[in-house]
Amino acid sequence: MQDASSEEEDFAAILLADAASQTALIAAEQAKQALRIVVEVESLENVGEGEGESLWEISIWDLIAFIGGLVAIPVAIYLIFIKYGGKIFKFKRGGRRK
Amino acid sequence: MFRMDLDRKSVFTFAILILFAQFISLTYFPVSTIVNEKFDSRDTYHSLLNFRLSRLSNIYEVNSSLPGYETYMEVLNGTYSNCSIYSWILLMDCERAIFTWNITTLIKDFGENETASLTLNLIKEKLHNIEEYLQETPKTIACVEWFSLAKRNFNYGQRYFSWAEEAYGRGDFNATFAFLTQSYAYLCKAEDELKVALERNMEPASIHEQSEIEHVMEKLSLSLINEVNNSLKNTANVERTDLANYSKRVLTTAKWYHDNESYCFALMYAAEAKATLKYAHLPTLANRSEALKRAEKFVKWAEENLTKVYFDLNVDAPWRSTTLNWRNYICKMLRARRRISQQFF
Repeated sequence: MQDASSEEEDFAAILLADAASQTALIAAEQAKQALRIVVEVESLENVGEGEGESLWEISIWDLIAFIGGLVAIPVAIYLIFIKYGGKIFKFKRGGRRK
Repeated sequence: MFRMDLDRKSVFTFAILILFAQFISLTYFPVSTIVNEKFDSRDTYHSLLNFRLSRLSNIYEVNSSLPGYETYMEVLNGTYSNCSIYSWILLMDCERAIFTWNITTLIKDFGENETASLTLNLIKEKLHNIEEYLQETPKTIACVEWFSLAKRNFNYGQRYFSWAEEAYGRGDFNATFAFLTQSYAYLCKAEDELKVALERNMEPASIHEQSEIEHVMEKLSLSLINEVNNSLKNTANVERTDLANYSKRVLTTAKWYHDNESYCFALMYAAEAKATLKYAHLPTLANRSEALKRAEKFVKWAEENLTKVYFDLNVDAPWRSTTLNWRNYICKMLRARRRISQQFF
């Protein structure tokens, strides 16, 4: 009796494992295909964008950063080395201090 | 030659200003990334469950003697918290039970004819509302996926509604109520799926043209259908002919959906056909531990793929729910494995 029930349990476990394997394989394949959609749509869009877009197209942030840098660097140089230069780096003419 | 003064405040302020000006465009992007990361798209069925749960809580809070209350409480208490889609399906059963109860109560008060007429109008209105929402243009891949599911359930609901109308015309009230209940259940599903679709029709998912998404889905589904079709021509070495035949049937369904321009489902069924055929080539295992080892291996592989989907904000792949509940199988499998461990170790 025990052998028969153990056999039955074995059979049930094999069936379940089989169903789990098959379903897992299907779920994995479907997930793979879903991810392929993302890749394909993005690549399609990149091709489309590349065709009509100029290489020199810049965003507003690029422009702000460029102008900001252009203004800020000379101003910073002027302030650091010329206007407040004496306060930061004390230059002494005539060599060593006596 | 020179010595540094300790007053560095102004130098640092301007240095920071320069850095800010130079990298303002760079800092703009990480901010959007942080926002994206906060959006939890790991369990797509969770929002589906929440919609129905909030609706049913309004009903059961007023009347806890309604049918399905115990099931509702089980879901609410998180008995199946590891499986949101299963909980959602259970809540749909509650909706169906409440609907049937309502019909029975109305019949007692108004009679069959009046109740049938009232219920037909109610479903008609529901159909109309959903149809309006379906006019929305999907802009993200995830939205297209959810829309496909919602559209299919809407179509089923519409079909059952037309059968109910026919039965009502014949004076067959039993059939009318049966068809109306079925229609209602499908429309409830469509309603929830539409809500998720609209929720996912915006950022953080990338915005695309609907035609582009559909074009890609069409292309992918067609190539997969052809691939499986070619593989099915040579099934001489297949270990399990039953699975090969099943794969053929699934492929026919995929072709049908492709012909009817439902590319999301076409792709889903083609993927199922491919995976089934792949599995059909594997030998049948008669040994319990070997079968479990194989299952574990495949489940691990599936989890790896699904994790990629969970972390991709553009895609939900909600059609996984239609391939039965694979997680249920895993749970059962794990329980079976536990029994084995207890037996042998």
